[in-house]
Amino acid sequence: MSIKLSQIKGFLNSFLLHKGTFDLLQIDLIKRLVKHRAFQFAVILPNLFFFWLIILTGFFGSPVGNMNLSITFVWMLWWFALIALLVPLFSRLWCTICPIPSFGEWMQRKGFIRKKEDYKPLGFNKSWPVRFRNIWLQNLGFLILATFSVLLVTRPIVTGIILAILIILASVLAIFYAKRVFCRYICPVGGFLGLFSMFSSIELRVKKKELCVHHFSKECIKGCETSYGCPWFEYPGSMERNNFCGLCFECVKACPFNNIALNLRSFGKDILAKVGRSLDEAWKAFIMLTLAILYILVMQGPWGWIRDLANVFYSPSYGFALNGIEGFLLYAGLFWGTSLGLTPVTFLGFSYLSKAFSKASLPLRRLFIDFSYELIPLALGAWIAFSIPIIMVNWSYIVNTLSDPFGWGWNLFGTKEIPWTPITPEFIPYLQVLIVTIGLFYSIKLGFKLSSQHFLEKNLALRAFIPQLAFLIGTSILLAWLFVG
Amino acid sequence: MKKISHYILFSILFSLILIIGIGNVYASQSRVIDIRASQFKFEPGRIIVNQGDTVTFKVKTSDVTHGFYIDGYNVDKEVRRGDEVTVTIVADKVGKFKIRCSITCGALHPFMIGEFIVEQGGVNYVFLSSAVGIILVGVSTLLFIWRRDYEYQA
Ligand code: SF4
Ligand SMILES: [Cu+2]
Repeated sequence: MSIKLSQIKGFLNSFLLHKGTFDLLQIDLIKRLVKHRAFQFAVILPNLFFFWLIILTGFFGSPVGNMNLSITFVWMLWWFALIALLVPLFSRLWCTICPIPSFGEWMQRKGFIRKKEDYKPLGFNKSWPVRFRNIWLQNLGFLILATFSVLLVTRPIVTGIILAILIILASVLAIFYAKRVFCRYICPVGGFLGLFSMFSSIELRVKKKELCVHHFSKECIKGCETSYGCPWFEYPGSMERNNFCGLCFECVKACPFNNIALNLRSFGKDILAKVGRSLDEAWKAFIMLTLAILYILVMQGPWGWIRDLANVFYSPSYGFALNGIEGFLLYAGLFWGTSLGLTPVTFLGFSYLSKAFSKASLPLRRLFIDFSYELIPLALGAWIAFSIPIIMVNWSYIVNTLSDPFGWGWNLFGTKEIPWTPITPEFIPYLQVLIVTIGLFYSIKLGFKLSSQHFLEKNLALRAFIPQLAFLIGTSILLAWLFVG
Repeated sequence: MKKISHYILFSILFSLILIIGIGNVYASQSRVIDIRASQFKFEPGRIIVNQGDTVTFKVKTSDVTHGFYIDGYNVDKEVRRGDEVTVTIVADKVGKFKIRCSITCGALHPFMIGEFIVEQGGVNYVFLSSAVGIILVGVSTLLFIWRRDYEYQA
């Protein structure tokens, strides 16, 4: 192992002080690891074991959510690790280890690790319809799952079924379409991973763009003996955002010039990238912000009647009984109406004020779309704040189910009887307010810079941003009210 | 820059005066609060008292066995069908504390949550100061970044 002092300095500078970037692939161990053909297989495999376990416990285990591993592992452990750690710090690293598309990919590649010499992908290898090359389907999928989220996160069988559906769908799509169409255009998780990864403190980029321009064989796209080329339809040479990079490291394996870097960088950099801004992503931001607020309200609020509406299969004992469809429709209407209507329309109003205040000649649509990206840090903060009590209050359910995954009374590791003991629950609200305020800080910092991209004159940029400031502060206060009000 | 610091100082002073001033006007009282626990809620869901109040909760369940737990107040009781459980506490800590069900009672058990809010003299200062804090952080972040970028340009 050869880590030089200058590397340590660069790492600390970039990580702690946000000065410049630091290429993690400079560290020999990391580089050798991700270049190894067995790397992705090796990290997916243990994860796959848990996936099977989750599906099994989902179908055959106890119907009581917090006594069943499928619920505690997916909606407590995985969810918290994903949104509070993996996404903010490591971009889409989850997608590196995700088992959902693995069957499809192994099938297309006709193998797990080695690339065959006369490799031709299996399957029809069609290209995805142009009309659907955006994240609208992901927005839709996420909203549908979110509408049933109270069922999803409390009924093990629903989690089992959804996971099974996702795996089957990903595999079937891999038969017909080339590469990771499922991940890029369908996966409901992928949609918000892409959006929030714009905020991450890590990025995969090329070191020298000119080198890519003049290198015609482009192994990072087409592949070579040691690599399949990017399965995500990305071209590293022009990548400026994390959104669709699943960190599979095929390009690192492919590039003959070692021109790929995995940089530590400052938070939220991609939000300022001028490429790729679009209405589907703007709506993703609205959906994520709105749903964070609604989830806090429904799942952590004191209003039992909203939970009654959401709990469509009301079950006095733990079974199912279709009940209260009208109430559920009302609830679904609330979800769809606010995230697709109320929030975007309100935001449009504030964008209109931005235009009016600055007397900008820009089209309103442009301001509306571009400013929507400033919501990403705040929305992420709201989701993290939402997720904190899940771990701090209910961690014991995770360790209980580790010993008794099906809720059948086993005690494999002796952790079954660890009592429910929330960790300093009285401080959670303050922590939540703090995290939302950090999100607000980044939203304002980046939002003002977004504004500066349109107005060369700083004072005009300031005027244009004032309505945005009001919107951001207002939303943060609403969240604070949910936590401490 | 001077103006900004004046403005921050003023708001802090103002909030302090509010907190000290009004907080003492109200005398504490004793309250009895009937709570009904059921899958998956506590009714009433939001209980608001003042700091110093002596609060007696009388908890009943209308279906299965539930738990009655209050964050930060060291209350954790089992409430069985047919029983009425009485808990008395002095509301000495201010803020919002979740009331939680501590005994697995069905599918939505982890979401069975109520709120116990301790105000000072009828005002929720924790929320008020959070809101003031958020506004201060927001405005000063913007001014800071605007100024820095401005200096950079000049
Ligand atoms: S996009 Fe979805 S299915 Fe694909 S790797 Fe990421 S999380 Fe897994
Ligand atoms: Cu209960």
